Amino acid sequence: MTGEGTNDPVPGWLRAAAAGDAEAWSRLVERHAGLVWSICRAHRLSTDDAADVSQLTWLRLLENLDRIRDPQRLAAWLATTCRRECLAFLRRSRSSTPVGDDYLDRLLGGAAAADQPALVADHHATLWLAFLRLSERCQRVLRALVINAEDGPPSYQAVATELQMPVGSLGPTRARCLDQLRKLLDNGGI
Amino acid sequence: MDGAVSPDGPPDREVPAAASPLPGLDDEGLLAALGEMLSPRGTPPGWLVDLAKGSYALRAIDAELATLTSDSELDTTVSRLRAGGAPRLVVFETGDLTVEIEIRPGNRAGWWQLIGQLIPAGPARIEVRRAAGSEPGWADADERGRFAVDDLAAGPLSLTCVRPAQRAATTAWITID
Repeated sequence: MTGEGTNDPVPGWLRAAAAGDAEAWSRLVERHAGLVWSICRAHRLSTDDAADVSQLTWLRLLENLDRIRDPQRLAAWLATTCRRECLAFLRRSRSSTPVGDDYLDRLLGGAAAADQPALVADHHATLWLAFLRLSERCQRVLRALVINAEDGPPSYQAVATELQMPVGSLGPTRARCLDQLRKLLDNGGI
Repeated sequence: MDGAVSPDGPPDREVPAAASPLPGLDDEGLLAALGEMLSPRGTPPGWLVDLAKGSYALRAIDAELATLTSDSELDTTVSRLRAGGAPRLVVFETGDLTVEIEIRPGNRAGWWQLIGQLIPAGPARIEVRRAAGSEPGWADADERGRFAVDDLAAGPLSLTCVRPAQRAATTAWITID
């Protein structure tokens, strides 16, 4: 049930993107955009600065497409690269005080309030790294279970229909996938 | 976690000192956390994802990557001096080419200019590459390998250097800001 298996599409996307396939590149971006964004926000970058550092991180992947040593661990590579770019950005900044939408938080709520978005983002980053190591099936099942429609979380029947699974197997599958996710989180997600 | 950088350098750890509460969550809690992660609040803006996808057009095919070997802006002592207008010095290298560039504020506020030096010295066509959607510019390096580019806006920058009868070299992306 782990991601390290023949069902992991990421190594194939990397190979294809390195060979000129723009669609494969788009798949890579879609899969990892949330991870890169949350790491930038975890470093307390404003939304504008997070956008700039995110973009630089993607350009860094672009220029290294054909030299990723461990394609099955691309998420970890992106996380490390993004952290490095965040730190370089912070060193380049003239002041070490974050500006932007954190400023008002600090002014009105004090340090604790200002830290909340960064702390939440840090949890998201940790969760992304573990989530992306799940099998394709688990990622699909868990996504379907938590993506809210306009009228709230979907029913088991709706999810089972969408995933083309028997509704009776959804509960056990959910439990197995969450167990696997918890194991990956326990191991640090890396 | 403190993202600010001390004069001694970047922090060794990028995670909070407290243990992550995530592994201790029950199934409902984990699902709630996943829901947050995947909600609009936890995800990047759509235009940024589109920009990242569109960046594929910026691939430099058949060019050797000139990696960044030194950047004066990463030296905290120098960056304090830079507030007074000192230029930023960046060096890129391949096995047989060094590209040195000096970036300084341009004639107009908010714009930049750069002068560059190729080593070994020699003529080259320089493609000035910017972020997706911007038109690339061009410059020519003279016999002494020197070139200049004016009117650079802030943002990502990469230079592709094409020397006669040689494989092109493209510098690792940096951000002008």
